[in-house]
Amino acid sequence: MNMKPSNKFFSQSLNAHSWLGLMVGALMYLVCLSGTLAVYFEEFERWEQPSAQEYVNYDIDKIDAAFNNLLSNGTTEVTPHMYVTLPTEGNPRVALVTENEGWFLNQDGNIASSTAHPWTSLLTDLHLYLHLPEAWGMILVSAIGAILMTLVISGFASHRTLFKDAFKFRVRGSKQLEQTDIHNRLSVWGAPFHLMIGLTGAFFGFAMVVVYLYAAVYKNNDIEHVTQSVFGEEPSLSQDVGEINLAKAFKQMPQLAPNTTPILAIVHDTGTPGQFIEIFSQHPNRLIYSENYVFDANGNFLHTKSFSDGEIGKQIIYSMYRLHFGHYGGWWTKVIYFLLGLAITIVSVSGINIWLAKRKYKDLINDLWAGFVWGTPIALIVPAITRFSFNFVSNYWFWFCLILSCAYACKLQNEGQARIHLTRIFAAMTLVLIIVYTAKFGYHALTGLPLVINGLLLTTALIGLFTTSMKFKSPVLAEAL
Amino acid sequence: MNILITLLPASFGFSFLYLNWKSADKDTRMSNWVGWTLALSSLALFILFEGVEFGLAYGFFGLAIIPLVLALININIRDKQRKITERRTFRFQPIKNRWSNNVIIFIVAIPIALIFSLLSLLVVSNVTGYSEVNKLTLIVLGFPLLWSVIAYLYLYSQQKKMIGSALFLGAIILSGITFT
Repeated sequence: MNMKPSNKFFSQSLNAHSWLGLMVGALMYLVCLSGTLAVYFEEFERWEQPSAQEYVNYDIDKIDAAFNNLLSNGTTEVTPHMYVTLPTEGNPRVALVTENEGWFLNQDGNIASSTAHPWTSLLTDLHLYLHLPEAWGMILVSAIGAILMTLVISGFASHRTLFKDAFKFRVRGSKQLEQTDIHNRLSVWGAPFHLMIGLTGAFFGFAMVVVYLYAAVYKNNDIEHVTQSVFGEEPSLSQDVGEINLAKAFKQMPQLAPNTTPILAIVHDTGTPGQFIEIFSQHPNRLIYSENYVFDANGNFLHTKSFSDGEIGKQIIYSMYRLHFGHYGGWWTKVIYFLLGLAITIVSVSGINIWLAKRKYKDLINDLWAGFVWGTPIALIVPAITRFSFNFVSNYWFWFCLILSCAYACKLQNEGQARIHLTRIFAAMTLVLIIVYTAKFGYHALTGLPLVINGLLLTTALIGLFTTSMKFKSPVLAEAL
Repeated sequence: MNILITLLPASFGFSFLYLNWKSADKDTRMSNWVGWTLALSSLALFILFEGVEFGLAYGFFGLAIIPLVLALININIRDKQRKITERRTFRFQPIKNRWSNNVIIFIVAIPIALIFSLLSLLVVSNVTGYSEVNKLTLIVLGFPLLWSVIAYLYLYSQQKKMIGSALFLGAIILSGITFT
């Protein structure tokens, strides 16, 4: 029996793949590019505030004193949830945070500057919501995650020479062939990662939709009951409202959870008789975000949330965050996520490029696409410049720059020229950003993580200038770059 | 050190697959088995050294970099002039164009496939006998997968109207069953 699918199967699958890709290609590009950069959101947050003190060893008594002082001194509004973020490898800082604002805490226990990272928020909001209202934006982005899975499935189904082309990588020559090779190599070998990103991405937006639907259908609209079955029950306490004994709770952690690393503490229902402490502690070699240890306000241990040893469904759900963002296993996991994220971004672009190349003619769509693709990095860099120059960042600013880039590309009516011009503008803007940043932060710009990020930005700008300005002796190299 | 030991079999395995792919020899079945076995042994080593969760993640995602590097090594820069593509003035033709049909199909089909898969899993989860949290996990992770398969099948099908109607009716029936 011949098990090989017919040509009709491949062509119909390719048709489905193409149309689906075309419908979401532009949004997919924005989500993937911002997601690739957002792998390093902790590093970008540190880069935005380089003068905040960084340390790994902290004195919990000093944090406890600062936290209780914050609650009692009346200078800030005490919100139902109050947070203490603890140093991690990605973000070695301590901060006290309310639902509205936050402050870094120095190692000596003194409160330092406010936490503020508006540019990183612009980046992460683009990835999470596409700058739309949060609920709808997240559903749309999650739908794009599910569509990414459809694209992976239909992509495999439409690839009639999957094994024959396994390592083919032809550049120059036919544009369609070049873009097809780039598209297929990156998507086929990266498929497990792309499927995981699609699935976990779909989870974030639809988890609450499923909870609401499930509660409506099976639990008589008792959303709290359903939420608690996943995220654990909250204790019902009736205590005298006094100080929060964070130190006592933390000092029990080595016995309660040896070899784990506390990363966060939340005080729930702050200032009420029911207030309690929840300490999030990361377990080694586990993908769950943390196991959560619940204490009363006096620091007496009550129970865990059973994320590490509870039902399998609970463990899987609580592993989604780290799996999606690559925040596990150390710096090289982030590098792999960045590279594979960049691969999906290129796949999104090359997919549309294939369609454009197949058309055999050029028009406004070519120009718009060139402006959109090469304008997005500019639209991300410009708000960073205004953030450090005038402390001004707005999501509208991003979209304004993007529209301007598209308009410029349309005016040029030459996608090749548009790519070159926009890359040069990006390089120039990046250099401006580095100058502005260095002028603002001086010494801090040239040490530690800011130096690494500024160095990478400078390298990117120079590569951009190099590839668009140099006259290559070899025409082959010139065309390839 | 562990990481190097773990990466070594996969590097050999993918290199083996690559060299095998490049060779003129047509009978490559045995050699491919060896290549894939070596690559999978790296996955096993990752699991051994890093535990099941980290091991699977490293194995499935990290190892993908190796064949991509091999494809990059195999780069074939062709010294051939590209054709000049004709430039046309853009004209938007919303009704006659196949574009608009596909946009409408996309706007209608994708949400219907979403509702259908969501409700299907809501019903299926109820007959599994799982605990509540496991049911929710099944729905929340299963429905995007089902959604993506249905969306593909729908777009794949030439008889779009028939399958679309079937899905639509199915979604209505399922929602009826679910809400009663």
